[in-house]
Amino acid sequence: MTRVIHQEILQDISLLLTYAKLPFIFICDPISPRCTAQALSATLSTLSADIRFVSINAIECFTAKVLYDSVLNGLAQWVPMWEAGCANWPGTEDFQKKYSESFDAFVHGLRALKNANDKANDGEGKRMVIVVEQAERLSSSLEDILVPLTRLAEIARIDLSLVFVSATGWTDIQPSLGAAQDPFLIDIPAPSKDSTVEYMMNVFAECQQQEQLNAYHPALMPTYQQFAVILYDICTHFTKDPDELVYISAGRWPGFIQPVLDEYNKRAGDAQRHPFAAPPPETFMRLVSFFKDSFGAALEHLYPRLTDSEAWAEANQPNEDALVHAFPAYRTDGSPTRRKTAVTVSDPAASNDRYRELPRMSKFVLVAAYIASMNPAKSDLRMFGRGLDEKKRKRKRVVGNTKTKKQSDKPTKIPQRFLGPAVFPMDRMLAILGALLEDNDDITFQDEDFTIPGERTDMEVGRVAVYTTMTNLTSAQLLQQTSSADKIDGPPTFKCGISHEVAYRLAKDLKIVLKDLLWEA
Amino acid sequence: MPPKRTAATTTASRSTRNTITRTAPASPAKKKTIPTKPPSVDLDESEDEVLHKPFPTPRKRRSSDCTEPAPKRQRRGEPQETQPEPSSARRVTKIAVARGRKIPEDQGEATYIKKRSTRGIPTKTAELKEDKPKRGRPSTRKPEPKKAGSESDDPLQSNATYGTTTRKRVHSSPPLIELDEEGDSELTSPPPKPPIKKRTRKQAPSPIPESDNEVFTSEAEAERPPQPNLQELSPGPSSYLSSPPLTRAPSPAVRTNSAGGSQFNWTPPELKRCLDLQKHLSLQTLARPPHIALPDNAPNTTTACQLTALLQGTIERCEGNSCILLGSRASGKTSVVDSCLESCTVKPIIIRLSGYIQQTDRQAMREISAQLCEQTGTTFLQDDEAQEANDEQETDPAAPIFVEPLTSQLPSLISVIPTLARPTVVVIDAFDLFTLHARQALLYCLLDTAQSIRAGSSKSGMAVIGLTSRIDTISLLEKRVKSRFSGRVFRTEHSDIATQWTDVTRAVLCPSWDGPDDEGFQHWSEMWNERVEKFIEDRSTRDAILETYAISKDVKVWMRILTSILLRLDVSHAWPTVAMLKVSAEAQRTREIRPSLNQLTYASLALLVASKHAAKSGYPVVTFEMLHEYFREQVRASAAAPVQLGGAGIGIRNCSRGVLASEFENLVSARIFAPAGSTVGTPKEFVKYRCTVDPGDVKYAIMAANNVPLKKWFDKG
Repeated sequence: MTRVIHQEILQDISLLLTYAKLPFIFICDPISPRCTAQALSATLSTLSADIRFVSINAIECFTAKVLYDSVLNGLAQWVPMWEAGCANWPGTEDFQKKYSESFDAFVHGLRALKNANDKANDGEGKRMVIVVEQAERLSSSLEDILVPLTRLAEIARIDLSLVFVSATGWTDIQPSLGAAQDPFLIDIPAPSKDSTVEYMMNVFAECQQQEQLNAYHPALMPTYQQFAVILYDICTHFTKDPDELVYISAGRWPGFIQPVLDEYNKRAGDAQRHPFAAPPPETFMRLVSFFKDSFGAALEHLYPRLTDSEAWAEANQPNEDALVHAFPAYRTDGSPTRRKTAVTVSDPAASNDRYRELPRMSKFVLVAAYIASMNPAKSDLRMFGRGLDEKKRKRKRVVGNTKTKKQSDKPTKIPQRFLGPAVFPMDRMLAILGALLEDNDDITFQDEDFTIPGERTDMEVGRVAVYTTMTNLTSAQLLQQTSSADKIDGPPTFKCGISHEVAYRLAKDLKIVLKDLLWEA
Repeated sequence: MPPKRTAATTTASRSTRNTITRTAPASPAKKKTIPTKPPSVDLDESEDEVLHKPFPTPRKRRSSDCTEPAPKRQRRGEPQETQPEPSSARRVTKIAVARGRKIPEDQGEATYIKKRSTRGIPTKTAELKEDKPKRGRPSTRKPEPKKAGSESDDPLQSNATYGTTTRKRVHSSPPLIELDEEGDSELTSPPPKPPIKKRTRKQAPSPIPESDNEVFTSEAEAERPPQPNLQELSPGPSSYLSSPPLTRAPSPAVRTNSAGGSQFNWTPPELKRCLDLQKHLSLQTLARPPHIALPDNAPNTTTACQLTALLQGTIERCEGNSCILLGSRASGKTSVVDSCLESCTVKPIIIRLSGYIQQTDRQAMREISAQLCEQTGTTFLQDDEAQEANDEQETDPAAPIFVEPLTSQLPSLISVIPTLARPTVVVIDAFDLFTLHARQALLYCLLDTAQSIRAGSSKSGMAVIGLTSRIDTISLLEKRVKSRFSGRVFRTEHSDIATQWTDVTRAVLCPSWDGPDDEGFQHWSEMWNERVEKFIEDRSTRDAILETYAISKDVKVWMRILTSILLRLDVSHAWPTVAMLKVSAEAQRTREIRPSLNQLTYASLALLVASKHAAKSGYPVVTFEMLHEYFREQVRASAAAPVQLGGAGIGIRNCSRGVLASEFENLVSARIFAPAGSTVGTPKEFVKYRCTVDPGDVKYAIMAANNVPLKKWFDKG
């Protein structure tokens, strides 16, 4: 079963390609360009009697040569084989040359292909259609050939159509000077609720396995439809892409329907007499009430791809409570279940936990680097400066100057916390590290060699181990070196590579009140 | 007294059929009956217009609608002649479209009703009410002659009931409506066989499209089975299209057949078949647009003559010539050159270069050698090594052998061109881009070679034709190149062809049918042609042509608009209309900057509102971190005073950072946020972006989404 979406519009496009023979069509779908491109390919494949088409992705074709070879291979229906050296389409027998060397050669290749096509069909061969997905990438990677590509039919003087499918509008990628040919513009609206649910049902049907009892059993199709409607209602505020909904569904649906499968397996003895059937409406409503909170959790973790749907589904398998909640007959004491909703694992791979394994000095270095990145250099003396009386200077926050400042013409400076970490020299970070160690490192040494306050900390900061730690952190991209490695004048410069949350967590481990040490906190 | 319009009667009139059967009511109660006739299309333009216009006005009479004086229209306030009818008896008058049929006398009132409806007056039922004889007072109204040019006598007329969200059409052949004494209509199924009183038509039938005025009644037709709902039988218009409804025009052919007693029955499948065939024909015509004949004094005609003379000198007298065709975009430069080359008696060697493709002289010379090899079958500038390589390949000597010349030998290739057996024409598109090449070496070689050819010598002729839209191209040439250029500049212009665009429209929409005889399509095509003619002669269409011509003189823009109109046609919207033209022009010619803004999700709109507030705070350049901070602050402020309405909160809906980040990536990929700084080495949440959307557009999008919390946030501060 094919995934059907935007069927009416695609029928119009097929009319344009077969009857009007427009040389250039631009399809703008800001919501689900991938779905549209796949559906367009499926529609064009049904016109194989009249059209020979190739669908390429502008992300895959990141160079002109790859694009030329992909187009010619697709139109010639040539599949590069590993055993044959992965050779591209060799061309016609009597006129062999490399068709991917330049745009001229590409045009010659298209003509040769057309001639071969005509010769094979004893006359007028099939029309050639080139579909380019993610066409907005062409404006950045292949800007030089964008203009001749839009005029391909005119340049090659053959009956050919070019279809761009893009998430952006034509005006966003249109070359300057009006050199490119204007396309016939088609706007794809956001898919409606019904069409989205139908699309999800098509995907469900693709996953069906008749022999096995699993979450995609054909008998569960009506239940899945209701599930898809609820999922759409919850997620439509954040995404309207049917593929995204399918992905979220792939994470939540197996756990959602698992109590039904468990219940059927428990009464396996009756399986022969009672074939597997969809759960009754009341059971479905109980399942919805139990899992309704987990729909949003699935969206929050799967839509940003914090984890993959399979791992999320594995981590959020329902426990016994779900079965008991969905089927009251399994309640042992007849009382309502304790838990009414499903528990979702927030993040299977807790990103912040991996920093807990760092050595103590590495944590200090990272916190010092974060402070150096976020604080202006002029504030260091105020934040960490010490007087002769060994008392730490208190931070003096500048509170509202009474004098009105002159309005400068320069744009307002964006606070540093919004701009991310700034570059700092290594010396400055070492100085901040020393201040942090002096104030927060509770390890005391009874060594009479260091009589001056802070002298031992200076010695500790100057150890080779600190530099080794910085090297290790740089290789782990927790510190980012911004100066070139072969630069010998001046200290190397770095930039902090950890986020605000990680820095707070590390400071908390070290019992450092980070908020008091940040200038803009 | 003229009939008074009321809202209730207006609503009721929308469900009224234009083919009406009036009969003596069995009971005074209002009743709507669904006809059980076989399917046919019965569509009314006027009702649809009413539904698409807030204050519909009667259609003006057009000269094209008739060629003979139309019957005088009954004005409001004028005393109307009525025929006495039994007030208590329910009358069913059946009105169908036919020509040459005598009109029963008792159809006068229904004819009047039908005529008023076709003039775009929405109060059909209101007038029905007024027309009805009141109790105890027999009606004396006589059938009113109908105004010529109206479309109510369509065999295809709509009977649409428009609700707030749904629209129903019931079609019959002819559809039937029973009218009660209050004038309300109700679809009946099956309709009772009414005692029909026939009356003869006083006026002679007009031989021209005047069938709007003509109605006939046939008992045989009254017994036809009911028509299914056309809207159900055929899919509605595409979801992305919104076009006016179907209208139906009178057809001489239909009238002729009707006079013969065999009216063509338009079933939805038949209508769809004819419409699809018509669309295919028109789209095929678009693939090969009709040639626009230019007047003799048109600039392009003069240019073609001059260029032909120049090419004749090159071909017949072996001259070396050079010229530039200068004209704006789509002014016909390439077509002029192609037509001149086709008219040559001797086919020359044609080398086509383009500044967009051959961005260096080396690429251009490679292409020249390749095209020469293709057209002459011989290889030029083949050195010994290449010859040896060819010998080793042992290829077929008859087949053309393509050997690219070495780079060092490429410049000398140009000098070989005059030695060829046939004259050569070098057509250089985007000529101005070749002036940007280093030292303009290619242009120098080409122009120098062309200049050095002397007439009467043994060499073949050579012509260099440059095509450009840049008016200062000659000044871009270096002195040594300019001195070798002949200086001939031919101009191409968009001729004043606004009137010819009308002919193009007619040729595209009304292509000739050379297929096998098809009675149904013949009837269809006559109706179609007449409707298209009305569409073309509509003042709005003419204004649209002039407007398009003023914006872009490229006829291809108009062709794209026509293509869009053709795609919007379906069974329920079978004719090109002005409303379709307007929508198509907006889609293809004057587009909104961000047409997809209304489709954005809540999270995307929230990010746009946050960027608006950031810009208001003095930060036109934003990062995701900043937008997230604004959003978080607003969520916090909204959550501080939780207000619920009907159990649901009306504050800003919270959204996780990850979801917001994903939506922000989508906005960046859609170019709604454009990078405003370096993206290399910067974490993605700190990359600077600038919002490319106007805040006013964002506000419209929020209002379209009907999101009150976002709107309040947008207006905040």
